[in-house]
Amino acid sequence: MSQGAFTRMEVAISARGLVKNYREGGLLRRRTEVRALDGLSFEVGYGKVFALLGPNGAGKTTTVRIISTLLLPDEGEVTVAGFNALRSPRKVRERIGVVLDPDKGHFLRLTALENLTFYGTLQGLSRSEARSRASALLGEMGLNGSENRMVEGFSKGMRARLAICRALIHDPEVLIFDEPTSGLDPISAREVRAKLRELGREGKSVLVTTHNLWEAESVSDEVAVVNRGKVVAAGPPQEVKRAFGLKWYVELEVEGRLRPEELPWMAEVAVSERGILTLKIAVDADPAELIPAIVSELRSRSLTVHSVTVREPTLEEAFVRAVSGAGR
Amino acid sequence: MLRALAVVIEADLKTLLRTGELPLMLLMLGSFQFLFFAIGSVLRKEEQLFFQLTGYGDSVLYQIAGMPILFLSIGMSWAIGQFVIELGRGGKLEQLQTTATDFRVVIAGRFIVMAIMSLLYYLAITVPFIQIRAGPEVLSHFLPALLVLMLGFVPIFLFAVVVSVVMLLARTEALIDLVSSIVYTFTGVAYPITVFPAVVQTLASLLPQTILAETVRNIVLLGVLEPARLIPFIAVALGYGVFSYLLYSKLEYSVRRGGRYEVVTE
Repeated sequence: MSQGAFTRMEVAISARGLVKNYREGGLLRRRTEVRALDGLSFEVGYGKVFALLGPNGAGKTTTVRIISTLLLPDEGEVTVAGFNALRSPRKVRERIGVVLDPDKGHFLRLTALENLTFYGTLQGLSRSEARSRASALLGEMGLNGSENRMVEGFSKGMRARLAICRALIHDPEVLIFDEPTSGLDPISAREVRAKLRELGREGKSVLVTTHNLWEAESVSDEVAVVNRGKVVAAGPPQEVKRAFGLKWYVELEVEGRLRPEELPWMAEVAVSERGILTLKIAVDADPAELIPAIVSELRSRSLTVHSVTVREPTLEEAFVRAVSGAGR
Repeated sequence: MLRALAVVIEADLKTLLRTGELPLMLLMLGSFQFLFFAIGSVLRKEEQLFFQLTGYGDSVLYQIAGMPILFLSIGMSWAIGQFVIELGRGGKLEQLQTTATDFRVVIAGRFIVMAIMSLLYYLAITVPFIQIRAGPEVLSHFLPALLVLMLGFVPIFLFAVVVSVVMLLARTEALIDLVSSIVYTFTGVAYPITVFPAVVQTLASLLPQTILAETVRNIVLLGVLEPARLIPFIAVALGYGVFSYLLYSKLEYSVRRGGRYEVVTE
């Protein structure tokens, strides 16, 4: 078994110890070095949707560009679909679909169909294969009425959908999206997110960068939080949240007489103007199994429970902790 | 690769036609050539002196026969360099670099489009003007001239690649203007270079435009095709081929290392 085949079975994307410095300045300005990546490592399994999260300047786009074969790192190794992205870029390019900026990369004076046929042929499809696949993809992405319109007349949302079609034109096994919903209206962004989820269900390996934590949580199987060129937390969103010791909260609205000291496990008690008590309980894990016992306990004390609300910890909280360096 | 080349040519031709720049460019170049023709025909000139300097008896025909090489050269440098700059600005360069096709195929497609345009220009504008001025006896000269012109596309394209790569490495568009001035003045496409000192003439002979202009002129105006003239053609083409390959590899590495696909900013 070749090395490539062995890696292929393991992971779709592997980045190990990536270091990248950008040199700025020149003849008339002082030369400075900016460290964009500082030993960044992560792996994306086959058939997984993986989100890279991080604040501006964390190194997400640099990582995506290295994996897409557009940029060479100073140190480190990258394999994509079993091939070394630094030494065999062409083999990697045959197996990836990339959306770097959903608004860019289109030939504005060509129609949507012509754009996709163009890129499909460059990816090795025959002209007729590229055209038929382009038509099908335009239909899937809701652009079937616009296939013969020049792209210069397209809205930003339409261009973003066309960019996804372009990435999918040769049916690649690995897809890379850099901020795919950036600058889109909510409806277009929702459509793009739906497509990402669909690709995950179809078994594609997807790497996506995003600022939107809710988006990362809703579309991805795994996330990596990147800060200052390093991965500071990684794993399934639930695990990342758990790793930072974040609490779940159960909020109950109850009516009746209660002294807080009667229930020492209660984190917080507030009384509304109507005399309704709001009780807040903090727990370490999903409280679904605890709720019946809590409600039963409150009823046994002659309290009427009006409502129960569970608030799970958000990825945003984990992200803030990871980026601010708060301990796990 | 041929499939990719065909689709690049098709996309480039469609874009050129849809922008409306192509007819305007042909009109402008045609007008330019007409002005040379009209002014040259009206003005009295020292044709005897011109013959002594160049070996050609008609200065108007001399310029008309050289003009396509000037336009071809400027057009090719502009087309390759500007093309890459425009691709970079629109995010297309990065997108193309993520495809399985080598970017040199895209550049080759651009070259073929420019070659087609140049041939059209030669047949539609240069040939009629020369025939009007020189009479029907030169008609038989055009086919061999056309073949040599097509052969000359190769070194001129490689020269354009060198100019474009240097421009992209230096990150300035002004280089094209400088090269256009040098080609116009020192390669004999419009004026005889025999008026310059020997050292300038020697340097000019390293430029493919000089060799091509003189060879095409010899065929069109004098009906002379010396096979020996093809040797410098091949030598210059090989030289520029090696040089452009090395420079292109350096540019590709530099862009991948620095990540600057928007090679020349607005």
